[in-house]
Amino acid sequence: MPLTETATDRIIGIAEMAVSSAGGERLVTYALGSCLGVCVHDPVAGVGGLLHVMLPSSEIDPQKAQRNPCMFVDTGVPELFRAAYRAGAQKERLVVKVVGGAATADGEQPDSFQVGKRNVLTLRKLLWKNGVILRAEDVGGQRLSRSVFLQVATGEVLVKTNGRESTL
Amino acid sequence: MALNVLVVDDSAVMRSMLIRTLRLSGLPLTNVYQAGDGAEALTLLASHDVDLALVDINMPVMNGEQLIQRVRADARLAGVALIVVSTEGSETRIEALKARGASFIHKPFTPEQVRSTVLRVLGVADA
Amino acid sequence: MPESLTAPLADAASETFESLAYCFAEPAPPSAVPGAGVDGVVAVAFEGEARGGVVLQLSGGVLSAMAGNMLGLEEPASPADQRDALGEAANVICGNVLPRVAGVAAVFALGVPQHFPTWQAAIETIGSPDAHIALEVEGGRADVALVMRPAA
Repeated sequence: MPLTETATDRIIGIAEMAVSSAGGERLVTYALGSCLGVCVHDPVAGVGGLLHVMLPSSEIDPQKAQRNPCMFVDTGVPELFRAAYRAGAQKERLVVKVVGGAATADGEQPDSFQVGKRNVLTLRKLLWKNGVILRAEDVGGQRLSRSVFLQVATGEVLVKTNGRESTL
Repeated sequence: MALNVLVVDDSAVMRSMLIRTLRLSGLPLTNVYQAGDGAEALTLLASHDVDLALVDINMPVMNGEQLIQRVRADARLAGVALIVVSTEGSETRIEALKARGASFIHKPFTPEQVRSTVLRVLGVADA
Repeated sequence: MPESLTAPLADAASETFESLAYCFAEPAPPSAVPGAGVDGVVAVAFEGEARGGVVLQLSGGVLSAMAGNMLGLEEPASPADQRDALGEAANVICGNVLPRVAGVAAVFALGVPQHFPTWQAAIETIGSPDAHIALEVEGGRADVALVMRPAA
């Protein structure tokens, strides 16, 4: 399917997530810089999910995390998994891929908070502690803006990065 | 396909990390054995069927290089696939280990790196 | 402290804490090596094209978190596992700093981790540091020293 918005695309915004079992649907999120796009797919149940998450830890604002868990990796990723399970996915079948976590620094402005790196590290720790190994990743880099397209029917993940397209 | 794996490292924590990764990799593990040095590993190999051994280099009593030399010199152990898991940074030593038919995982590793190397060494397709 | 040793030591240490133990590490403000609140001190000696060692001290409770992370635990790791994890972290830092400072052609033999009661005791055994870095790690602190002398 070409990487242009179609009638079957469901767009996920920043600090949002969606889970779908509609085979003709594609879950899409744009402009992942330091944010992460976390994709899950159960090929047997035909369930796909995509989370666009901003910050690593809900410790900095637990009340905000209560209102919107999708803002933080440590609350948003468990929420994504739970939603996938409610849709019929099973943990041992889930294929998990991640995109994003770029540094925002350029030559003049340092990436002082290293949010991208912290997001990736927090995700890795969470997955390790919960017994999940990533199947693929496209993370890091400097000043990259990535968009992700998850095909619910097949689990195929396409990534568009600064004009280049690749399959994850 | 049944799979018997031996993990050889003088660090119990490192052995636990590797074993956890193997269990999470979706492999048909039958038995997982552990050894804290090369001598202990040879004793295990003499009495148990092992398909794959993950081997550290820097260990007391008998190090990983010595262990691999002994394994490769023993025709009965010809079927044991070997993966070195080490901080070793010397290209000379790494190439020498690869020349003995060992693959290499560099510490620090991610679980994903261990999984993909193990699948490749065992010839298992990544489904 | 030679800059040529400090930056590689910081890189090797940060990579170890982040990749092995899922602990974010960033440079700590310069200050004396803590004498209180110490979780553990360990050293790994090496010999080969140079001789010396890496000394690692963790303080402020970071060792418990680090070991738990390595093992994939939500609860704290046992004291024995924490001690093991500290030794393994020093081993990985040592193994990764050496090619960075001596090149990938250099060959070294690393010793087994040795635990010490204090930083000072470790330095008296391994040698006076040629480089020392301090990192803030998960609310605690890591002090890492590199001793590097010409081969005997």
